[in-house]
Amino acid sequence: MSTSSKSPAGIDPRGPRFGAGITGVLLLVTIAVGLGTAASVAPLAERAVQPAFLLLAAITAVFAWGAFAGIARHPYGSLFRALIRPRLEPPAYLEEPEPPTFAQLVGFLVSVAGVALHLLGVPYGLVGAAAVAFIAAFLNSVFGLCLGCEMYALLVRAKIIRSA
Amino acid sequence: MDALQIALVLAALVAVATLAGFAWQNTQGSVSRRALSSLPPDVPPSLVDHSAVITLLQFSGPFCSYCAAMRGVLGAEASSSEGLVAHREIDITEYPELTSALKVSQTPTTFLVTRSGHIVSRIHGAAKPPVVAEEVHQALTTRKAQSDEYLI
Repeated sequence: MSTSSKSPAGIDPRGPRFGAGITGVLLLVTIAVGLGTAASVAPLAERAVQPAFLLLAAITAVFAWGAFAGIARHPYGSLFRALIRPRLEPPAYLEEPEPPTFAQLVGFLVSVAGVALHLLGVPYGLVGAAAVAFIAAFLNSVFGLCLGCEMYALLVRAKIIRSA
Repeated sequence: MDALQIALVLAALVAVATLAGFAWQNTQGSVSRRALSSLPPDVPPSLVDHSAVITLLQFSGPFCSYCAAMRGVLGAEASSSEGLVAHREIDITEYPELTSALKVSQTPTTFLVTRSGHIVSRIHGAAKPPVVAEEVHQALTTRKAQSDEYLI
């Protein structure tokens, strides 16, 4: 992809930050609920219906939605446009949709790892992944820092990612 | 785990994330002028505008939240400079060698480059317009002083 041929259509950068706020709160609830049962390993059938697991599975599904359908079709984005955006001043600048979509993908990978670790019966696997995802969502929401995007630049510099 | 321990864990998480956020925020728009050299000689001439005194060379990436904002700031600086300052933007994935040679590890990263390819300063991350204006002013003043020396 070339920086000189970017499409002018951008998104309001506050939309993804609003969504990250919702995700962050949900992840914090997941951790709070999950810590109660994190150390013990229940049978698989029981693990698969624990509230913390169901919550993280739902969060993972929403991440997948944002990552694969694109940030412009994210459900929290629709909520932002319907409820929050009309009450705000126009944004100072528009953001390209690729960075927040990439952030959703990173969030998906982290949370799906938590889901997998929990199903495999790894103690603290679920809350560990949720904690990592929470820190990323918090930084995104409160500070506007896209952790996945920063990592991407580091990977290019380390020559792990090359131009396609 | 009891409720108090859980509350402590949650508070610790929020505290760690807040500290990390402030640490990152402090680096945004910071400028370094030390230990800067020149662009490698094999850099294509399209990266530096030879008709301008200073080129603002912006490194952007495909996944970069503030590159669009920085593009606006640098573009405005260039267009208000009456041809003294030019703005160029490149994609780190198209210049991986240059990206690692200049140790660019975040996007946007902006270099103030002279006509001959000498790097005057480096702006980390997104910067506010006054920061860019001050750097450009510094660079132009220094260039002016140096060219006056040649005249004497």
